[in-house]
Amino acid sequence: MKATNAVVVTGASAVILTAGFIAAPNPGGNDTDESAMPSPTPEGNLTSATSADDGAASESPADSGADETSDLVSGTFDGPVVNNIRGDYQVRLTFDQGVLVEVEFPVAGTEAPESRFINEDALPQLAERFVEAQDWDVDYVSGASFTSPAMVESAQGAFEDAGV
Amino acid sequence: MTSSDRSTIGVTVTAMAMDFTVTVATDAHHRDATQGALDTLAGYLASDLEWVDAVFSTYREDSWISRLNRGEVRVSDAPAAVAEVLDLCERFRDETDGWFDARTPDGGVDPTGIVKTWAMDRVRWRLALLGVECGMFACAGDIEVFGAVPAGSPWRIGIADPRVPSTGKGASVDSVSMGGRGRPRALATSGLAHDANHIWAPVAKGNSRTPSTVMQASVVGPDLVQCDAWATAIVAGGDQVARLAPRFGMQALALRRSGGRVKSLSTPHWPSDHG
Repeated sequence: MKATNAVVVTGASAVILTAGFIAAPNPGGNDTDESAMPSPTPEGNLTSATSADDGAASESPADSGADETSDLVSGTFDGPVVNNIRGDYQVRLTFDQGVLVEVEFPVAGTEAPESRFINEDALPQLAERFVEAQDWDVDYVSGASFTSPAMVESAQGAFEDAGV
Repeated sequence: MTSSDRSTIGVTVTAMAMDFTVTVATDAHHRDATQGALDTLAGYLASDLEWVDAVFSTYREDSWISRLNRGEVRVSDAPAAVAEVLDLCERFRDETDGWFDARTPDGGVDPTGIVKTWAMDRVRWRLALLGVECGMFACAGDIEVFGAVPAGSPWRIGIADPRVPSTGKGASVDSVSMGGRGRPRALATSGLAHDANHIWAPVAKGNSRTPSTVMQASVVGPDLVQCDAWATAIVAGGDQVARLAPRFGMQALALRRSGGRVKSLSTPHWPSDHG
């Protein structure tokens, strides 16, 4: 358990450091950004480690039933809300059997264009590829279901009213 | 219809102008008894779904939704189910950043987008009474599996080629495995295959954002109704909405036409059987 927590602490601090860099997107760095970064980081370490402990005992939402006896941490843990000149940031870490599987930012930045842009990058990137229709051996094919044409009619009317 | 050595039997109920199919795995010993149970179930399902249609159909002048939209009754006069569904619509509007929107521009409401899957969810308890180990409940693009994994191999569900307007069977561009530990239990697909205009961008969004070029979207997750709302939202809002799905525990596959070919865009953990 101790070893696992140490791993969690390291993982969490690494991510919060990353978040710190994301939060300060100006790569050249200026005085304000430099000074804003270090202070939230140690704070983040402590709080994350604590919440990881508590969480392992009480939360573990996904795997609590299956792995009560496991030494490896599973579950989702919210880091503290930290702030810098760009706004408030919070990291949410999801662990599966001690492995960090997901990083989210429940609170991220201000409405300023810079932080919105950064946050766009932090969202999952879609994988793109061309696909061809094939006749696979499947139990069922899920095709588009459809909603009421009345909705369409109503919306079209509204678009016309709005002059769009 | 089946893959591997599994034996499945099923029953289809037509309600709300759609076919609802219950498919269960069985063996030779229990086949007749299970078929009997399915036939009995079909009557109850038909009756339940008919009730949902009578309450929610926008085609029926006398449905509660129609009367609500004409201002003749209030939500509090209607069966509690109406408030429940309208609350769900609002929840999904929030989640999808406004891209699933049941409000109509004239101040009314049309929850049709999730009524079907909500109805499936509402009658799900009856499936547990079948006494079978596992099964699948499906209607067009929307599928929920229940119970264990049949004969050790999960249900394999194809994702229809949106260029071919048919459901139930036919060519698919991808497939996912469902049921059992670590696999999704619900899958919903929405799209433009049948009617080029049945989903529209909410009016409030119309001017400010890039229009979607997604022609079909599939969403897997733990909750069928939620997947349904999100699939609709992704068709309306495109990639930007698909990328939000993992935040709510879902994965999405969006299909887009690129020349004569189909391009898929999927979230990082979309559970494709084909890499």
